[in-house]
Amino acid sequence: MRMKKIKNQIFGLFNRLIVIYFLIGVGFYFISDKNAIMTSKIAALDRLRPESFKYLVDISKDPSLFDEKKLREYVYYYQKVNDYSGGRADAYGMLGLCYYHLKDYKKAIDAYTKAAQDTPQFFWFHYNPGLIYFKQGQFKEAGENFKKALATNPVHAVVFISRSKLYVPLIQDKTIQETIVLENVQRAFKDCERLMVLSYQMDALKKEDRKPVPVVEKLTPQIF
Amino acid sequence: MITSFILLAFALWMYVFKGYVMGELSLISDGAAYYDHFKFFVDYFSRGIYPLWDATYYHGLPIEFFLRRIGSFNPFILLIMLFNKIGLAHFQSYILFLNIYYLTGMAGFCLLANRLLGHKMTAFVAVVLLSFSSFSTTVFDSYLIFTYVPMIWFFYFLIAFSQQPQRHFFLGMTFTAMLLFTTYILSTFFVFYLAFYPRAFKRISFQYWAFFKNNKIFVILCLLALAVSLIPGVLFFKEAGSGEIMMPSRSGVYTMSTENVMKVDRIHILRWAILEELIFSSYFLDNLRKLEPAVFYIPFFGIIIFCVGAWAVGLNKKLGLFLSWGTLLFLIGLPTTTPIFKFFDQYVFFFKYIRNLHFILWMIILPILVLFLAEQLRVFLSYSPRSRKEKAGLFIFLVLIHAGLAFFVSSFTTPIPSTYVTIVLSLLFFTLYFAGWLRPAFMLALLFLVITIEPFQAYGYFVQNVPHKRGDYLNRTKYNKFVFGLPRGPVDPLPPVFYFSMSWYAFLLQNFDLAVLGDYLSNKVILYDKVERLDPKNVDIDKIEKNFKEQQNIAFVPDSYPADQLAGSEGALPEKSQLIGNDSKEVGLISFGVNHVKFKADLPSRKFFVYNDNFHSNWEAFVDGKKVDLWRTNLSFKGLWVPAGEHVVYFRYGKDWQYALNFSLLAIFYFIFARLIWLSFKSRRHANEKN
Repeated sequence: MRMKKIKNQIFGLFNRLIVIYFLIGVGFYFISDKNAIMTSKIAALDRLRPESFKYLVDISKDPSLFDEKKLREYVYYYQKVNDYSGGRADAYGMLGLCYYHLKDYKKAIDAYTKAAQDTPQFFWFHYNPGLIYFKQGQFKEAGENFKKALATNPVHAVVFISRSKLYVPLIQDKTIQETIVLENVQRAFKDCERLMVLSYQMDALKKEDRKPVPVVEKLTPQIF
Repeated sequence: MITSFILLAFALWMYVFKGYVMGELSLISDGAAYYDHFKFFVDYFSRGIYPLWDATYYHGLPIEFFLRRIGSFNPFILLIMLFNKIGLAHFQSYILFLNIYYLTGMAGFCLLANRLLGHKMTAFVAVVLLSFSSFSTTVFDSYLIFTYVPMIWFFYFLIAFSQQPQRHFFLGMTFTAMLLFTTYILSTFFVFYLAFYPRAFKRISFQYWAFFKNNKIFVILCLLALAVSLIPGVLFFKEAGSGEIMMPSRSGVYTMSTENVMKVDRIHILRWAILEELIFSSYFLDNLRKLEPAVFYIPFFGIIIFCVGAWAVGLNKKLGLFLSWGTLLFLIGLPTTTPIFKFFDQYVFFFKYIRNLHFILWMIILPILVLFLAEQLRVFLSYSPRSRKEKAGLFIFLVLIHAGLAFFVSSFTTPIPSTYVTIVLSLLFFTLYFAGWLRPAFMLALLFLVITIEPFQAYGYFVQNVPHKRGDYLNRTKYNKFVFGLPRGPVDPLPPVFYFSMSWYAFLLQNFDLAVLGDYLSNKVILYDKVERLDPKNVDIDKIEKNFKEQQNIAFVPDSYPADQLAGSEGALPEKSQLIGNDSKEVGLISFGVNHVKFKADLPSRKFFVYNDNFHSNWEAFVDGKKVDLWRTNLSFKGLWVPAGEHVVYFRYGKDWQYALNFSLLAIFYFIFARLIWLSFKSRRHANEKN
């Protein structure tokens, strides 16, 4: 009698839907194809993708095209890309760009830092935060970032862009060839050298002696 | 009292989506395409014409496929005509029809839930949960409503008939099955029903048999009606294998083929199914401000029930039935993730014809999930704590669950306030319920509030996010007009992935210079003096293109054309064909309709009369009332010989038996529907008198 009672109690304890869910979950884990699940995630992300990335390319050239709603849409998309991929350098890079235009410089720097940690060989992940630091008056940090940017190999930038699923739509929009990407990086390299020197010079000056540099004020972070 | 709250829920639902009725919001995706199909059908049907052909869709197309999609025999379509008659615009009439049809489905679901759960309050919870889930948004962006409404009612009649074998339930089953033939859904249900209720199944079988024996003629008539209702579908299926029509975006076959075009290209099935739909929807759950169509959503109270039930409810037969049935359908809907779909695809023939596996999620799994949750709620609410200790334990459990959920919601990107309000109200509801302090009216009001408050806010965002501009969608308002001369210029090419076209017309568009083709098609009628046979398997595109460009006086007919009838008029023939304009003296229009066109011709000599509307084997031609041979001409169009002198040339789409069949089916559907309503009222009156 007692045994029966104990048996019933044990059965009652395990007769919970959560146990059934757990068993279904375990069964699903064993029969499911993990690669297929990843493919499904990518398919779902594709549907979330904004119709065009042209705006991001355009605003990089002309910041007066500022549209907060549009920028927030892109932020949302790249955040989701990171959520479901566990964080990607290209997504962080694009987030950095969006946050910069949204004037959320701290988040922009954070995003570029994460991108650079993952892919230190990509020129723009150092150059862009360098520029932001410079504009913020944090010249020491700016100088360090420009220095890191100069240490990268321009060819890596081209390889990274051509392999990134997030950059490809941007390049398609502009029908930009690899050579143009390379030319852009090489041109920025020259700017970067000057900016690095300028950063260290400004850092060496006393605060009251520092003067705004209009040429730098006009520069904005770039995608490629 | 429950009925009042259900009506209140329906009223609230209509209020939330009032923007559609007011014409401020736009139907999208399949919702817009179906609007167009309905408009086309209703425009003609209201004039007593059953349309079978659409001359404006890629230069002519049989519309049986569209008619099967909208369910042209459904008596509810009469509502659109009724609203039109009382002066409402077509768009408003259509949206009102959709609203009423949806709410009819929800009323059916309420009755079904009541029968299945045997508990009115949880049936109420089920219907409000489902009404305010994303099930409702499918009304405006898809065509699922035309399947799930009859399906819900079918299951209601099935369950009701199994419990009480009465004629009106059997008739209801027949009628809804006539509207619907979704065998894979039904068969999986029967398998699990048999597994969980073997004894009940035996009892029900005897019950059915007894009913059949006592109502032989009635049952035979119902089965006959069911069999007749399958004829249009079977005929269309046969036509889909004839090679005359092409549906590349469905079949993946872009060239002419005799393979059945209803067969679905694997890519469509594999690319987007249930898992993709759920992952996509998960992006929106933490920010309902972005809620949009095609996002799977259930009111937060459903999640609360799920969490409470997971810990506090054990498996019973009903839960087992819902869970196993739903899980199997879910696994079937994962074609790439698990091997289950592959098995069905290999061994069950009709899986080749199912295109959108993710629809299973919306049409079947979502209602099953709601029933599953409602049953959990019923079981949970049936718990009666006896001691203070039990009561305290229950309260702590509820607080922990609700607090955990509040913490979970706080981790969302942008939670909406009503989600927190739902959690608070839910805790209040359960606490008051188990304390025994809830009076029925207050309990229903609280339940109503706890379920609807979050969707009310979420759908507020939804209506902001959907397109606001309403247009004429496919812009086909001129389909009842005929002109001989159309504007010259390049013809619109088929999009890279097009849905539906005549096969030979697609061939023309894919292979010919579109400017040349556009100029050729700018003339609806062309007269020729000579015809030439061509081998359809080896088409000389350059030769025909040159013929079109230079307006040569030769029309091309298939090689089945008799060799001794190739020559037209004798003597010297003009070099160019004769293009017929609006002011032609030789050919004039007598009448034009959706299924026919009639010309008067006054020709100086025998001419080959080409009407540049697509050929289909169901077209027939008559000269002065006498049937003549009609040929597929210039690859895709219609042509026939017309003798010299004054004649009436009449083209008609569809055989007599097709019209007879369609009108008979309409009569059968309407009769059965009327009879069903009559028997239901009679049965209700009888039950009331008995009580």
